[in-house]
Amino acid sequence: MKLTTFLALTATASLSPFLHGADTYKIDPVHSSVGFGAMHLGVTNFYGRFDDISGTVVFDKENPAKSSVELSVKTDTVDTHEPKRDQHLKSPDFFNVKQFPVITFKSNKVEANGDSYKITGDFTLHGVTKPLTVEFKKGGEGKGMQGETRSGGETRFTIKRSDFGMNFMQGVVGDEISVMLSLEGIKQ
Amino acid sequence: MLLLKQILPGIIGAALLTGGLGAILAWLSRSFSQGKNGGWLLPIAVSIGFAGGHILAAGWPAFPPADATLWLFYFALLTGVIGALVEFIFVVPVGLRRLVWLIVFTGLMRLLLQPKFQYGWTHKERVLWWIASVVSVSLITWCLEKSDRHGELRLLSPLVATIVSAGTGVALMLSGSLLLGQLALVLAGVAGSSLLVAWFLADVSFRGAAPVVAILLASLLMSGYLYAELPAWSALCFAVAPILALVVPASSNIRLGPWKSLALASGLVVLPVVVAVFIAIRASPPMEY
Repeated sequence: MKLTTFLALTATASLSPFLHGADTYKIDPVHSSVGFGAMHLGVTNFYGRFDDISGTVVFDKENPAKSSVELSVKTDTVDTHEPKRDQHLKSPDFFNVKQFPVITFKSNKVEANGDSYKITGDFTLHGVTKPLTVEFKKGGEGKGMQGETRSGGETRFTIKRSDFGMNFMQGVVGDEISVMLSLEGIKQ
Repeated sequence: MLLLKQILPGIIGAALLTGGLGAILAWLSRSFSQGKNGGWLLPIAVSIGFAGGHILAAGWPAFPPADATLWLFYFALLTGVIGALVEFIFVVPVGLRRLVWLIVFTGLMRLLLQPKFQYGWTHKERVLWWIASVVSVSLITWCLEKSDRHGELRLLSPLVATIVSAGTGVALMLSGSLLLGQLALVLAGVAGSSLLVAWFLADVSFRGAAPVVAILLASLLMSGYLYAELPAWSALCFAVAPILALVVPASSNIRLGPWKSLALASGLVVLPVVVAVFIAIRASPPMEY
């Protein structure tokens, strides 16, 4: 190895603690929320949530394009505060949880957009994968009870369930589903 | 009331399509082949009837469908064509016919079971379930074919198919899936319409449609058990119900007369169907909310 190359590498290595790279955050399911709303009979929305969300966010503040998001939500944790409805939602009529146990999102592009981030990725629901772009508004940062660093944010978006093959009972349950996603991650 | 508005179009549409198409094809068959070999009609009429009912109930599924249950639409079309070709147009020997259907059933059941192959089953479970599903379809096919008899007893096979499909529809609705229940009732509408076609047109045989009905019925039962909440005993009762039609021998036609034989055979089929529905009622999650 040439001396100049060796010196360059050594300098870079010694400076690395002072260079800001990407941070990896593991999603805290206890302090994250996934909610959805659907129109019932054209009257008003009813709301529900999923109780199990997991995933990883790699966040590079200096270079957001190098950031990434991977999320997974277990469909059989759907909760609309009515057990009979929950059972129906889990059936082949809707989420079909025995065939499609998870909803996933995997980003392939992150762009800074003012004080929020435009995240584009593959959203898979009911076995169908479609591209999805959301505006993610970053929240704050803080220290947890054990001194761990926490960060997060939230986003809201709308999808059409018919785009994902969930066509049953259109008219009774609206096609447009609003989704509210609030994430809190623990820095690894 | 809302439920009836949801499910009736599919059932009625399927029945009308099957009956209308069956009648038209029978007329064409008589016009061009002097009424011989009319058995190719019903596989086509049944498959198109079910496909039409499926569109009304659940829409036209994407290909390939992500939801394994939606393969039923393509199962119906494929087996209808094969049924017409294999059973009657080419008039293949029995052994070859059985082999062709065995291969078809093996492939189709693999598609239906794909989600379970993907999530959760061990290799041994996959093999066992695959074999069991193919055996069950083959058994139902055999029972329906054997129920296809002469004279008035030619009505037995479509009658058995109608009774078992209707009961399956009710049980599936009670098991938490209105969609699967609706598709089973579409199948009942199709089988019932076939019954009418066979009633009015003596040269039309249900035998060719037996594999079509069998694969759809077996797929609905498997989907109900694996993907909805249909109790295992309920599914088994439905699967074995067609066997009881064969308890009444063909020779009973002479002793009892055709209509009494028909009533006795169908009555025996009704018994396990009633038991299956009762089991589903006891196990059903309440749907009103």
